[in-house]
Amino acid sequence: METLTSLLMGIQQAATPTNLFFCLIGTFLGTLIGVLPGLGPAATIAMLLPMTFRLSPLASLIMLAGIFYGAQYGGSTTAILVRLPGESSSVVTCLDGYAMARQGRAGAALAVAALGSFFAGTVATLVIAFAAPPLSQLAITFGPAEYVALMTFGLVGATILASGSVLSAVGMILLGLLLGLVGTDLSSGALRYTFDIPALFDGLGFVTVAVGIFGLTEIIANLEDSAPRILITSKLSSLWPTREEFRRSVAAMTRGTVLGCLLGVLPGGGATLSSFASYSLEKKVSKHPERFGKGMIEGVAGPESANNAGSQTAFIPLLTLGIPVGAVMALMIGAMMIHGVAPGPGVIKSNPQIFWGLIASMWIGNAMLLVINLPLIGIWVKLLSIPYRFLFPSILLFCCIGVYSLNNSVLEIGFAVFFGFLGYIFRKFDCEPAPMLLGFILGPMLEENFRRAMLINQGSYMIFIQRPISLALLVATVALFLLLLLPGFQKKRTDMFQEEQ
Amino acid sequence: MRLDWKNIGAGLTYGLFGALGLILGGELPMGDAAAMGPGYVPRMVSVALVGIGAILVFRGTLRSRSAIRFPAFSWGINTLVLGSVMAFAATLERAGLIAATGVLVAVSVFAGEKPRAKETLALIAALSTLVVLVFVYGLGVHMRVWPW
Repeated sequence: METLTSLLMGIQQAATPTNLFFCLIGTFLGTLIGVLPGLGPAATIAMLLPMTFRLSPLASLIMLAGIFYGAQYGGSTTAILVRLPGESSSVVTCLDGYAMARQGRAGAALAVAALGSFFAGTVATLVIAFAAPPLSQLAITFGPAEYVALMTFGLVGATILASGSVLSAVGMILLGLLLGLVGTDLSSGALRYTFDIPALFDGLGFVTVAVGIFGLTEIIANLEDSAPRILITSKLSSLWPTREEFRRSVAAMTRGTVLGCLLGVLPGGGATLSSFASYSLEKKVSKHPERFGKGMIEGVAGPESANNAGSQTAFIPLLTLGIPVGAVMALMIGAMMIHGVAPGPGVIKSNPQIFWGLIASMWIGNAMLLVINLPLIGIWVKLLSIPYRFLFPSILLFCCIGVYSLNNSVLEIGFAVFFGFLGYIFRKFDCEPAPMLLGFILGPMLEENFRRAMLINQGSYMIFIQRPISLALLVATVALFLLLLLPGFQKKRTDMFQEEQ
Repeated sequence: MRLDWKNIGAGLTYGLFGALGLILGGELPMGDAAAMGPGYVPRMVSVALVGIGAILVFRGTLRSRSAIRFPAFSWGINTLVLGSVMAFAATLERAGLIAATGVLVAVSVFAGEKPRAKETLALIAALSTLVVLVFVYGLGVHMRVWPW
């Protein structure tokens, strides 16, 4: 009951004209970047973060969150119409969505994707509302040892559940941790890796790093492989699925939502893993697995619901533990800190209007997205015909201005260029950038808690196995590593992401 | 010998950063486990990075499953894109946002398809109007706008 009262309070907070306006801006921008390939939510949020200084904390968080889940909606549109996933979480939607579009059922696929996302978004909002308070309660008892164990679990999970080589991902995390140490050491005041550059005394800005490795690198990579885009020009047939299609979708949406809600919470999970997992689940439960890839509506309904549910429940660890599960959540942490809201279990008590307002705004935002996407689909399709040669100079310009306005310094732009090139090198060697940003954000927190835990216990590592919660988390971490040694798991892990090819 | 250059490349990059972490952080006091100095954690992380780098290089050379060539780098695109951003940075405080936008667009378009002069000029005009209106007047970002 208390949850419902709080949720109502949140709706009141989110429904003020200003907040509604920024929710609309966020979801609109999200759809836009979701439709436009080559600009993801991480780069966009990083670019816009400095501009949110002037907004109220709630308005800016509402807007930034809207960009994130809005991008999942927009990403599916391009996946269905041009077989080009706007976001990695829509990769599997290409398979059956595009096949449907070629059979003249693009309208039905788009409608099912949007309705599934809305349904999943609604359920996920309720899941957050009910799961977050008890988790915060638990987390408030955490000491430094528990935090160290939790962050270790999160970082290890992020490497194992993501795609690509585990060793590489561990390397990226460590590199992120090292970069996170740049700046003044809080407990001794010593300067570390600053090269006597005053701009580095406060550490590298995560916005700069994110704009570099997500924004600039992405542009270079896109320019490198200029694959032509083929737009389905046939008229969009009826927007509505048939009764039969609808019946089949509802079951898939439900399964996708449940799966997404669960996987979204896991570190490294989130939207992408959810959609891949849902696609293989649909294939497995279907009586006609051979028809997948040829226009099965379940192949659109399931993953599209799952990625939206996953992108929303990813906020649970952020809001209750202050631990981000992915790159975008890491940026949201940064956004909270900019506004003086310390992320962690205390948020729900100290800033209830922000906590509940943000949750309620997600539901409002999902309703807005339904309107933005279905009736206005024609506009988004038109946008796709903007050539990339106009887009990329514009994106570059926004990246530059975003980074400059951080603290009115052109030096920051130089740092972003460094990370842009570093990101390019890593891309060439198949190293995923997301774990690096995760390590970068968690680095200072991890170090501080680690040093504090060791100080309290006179330098004994035993503390981490003496405290039950910490021990449980470390056992879970070891279990994750052991999973890798299971003969079947490595193959499963590769299979899960194989649809990508 | 089969060489997997993607593993080797990643390993060398990690190793390089780990080594830099150790060398540049060499002066930082270590402290001990009970009272860690500012150098303790950086050293731990750097050593781990060097270790991961070594394992990756090992996997890429002695235990390579397949030969993977060193990936081709598009130096031209990198130079043009990153160079245009540097040019923006160099121009912004000296000659203002409009000039910087012009420089950025004029350089970066060469990274894409064959640029057309008229199109590029139109893009510069449209973008500089947009950013001045949105960022300087709309969002109130403090920036020099005009060259004078």
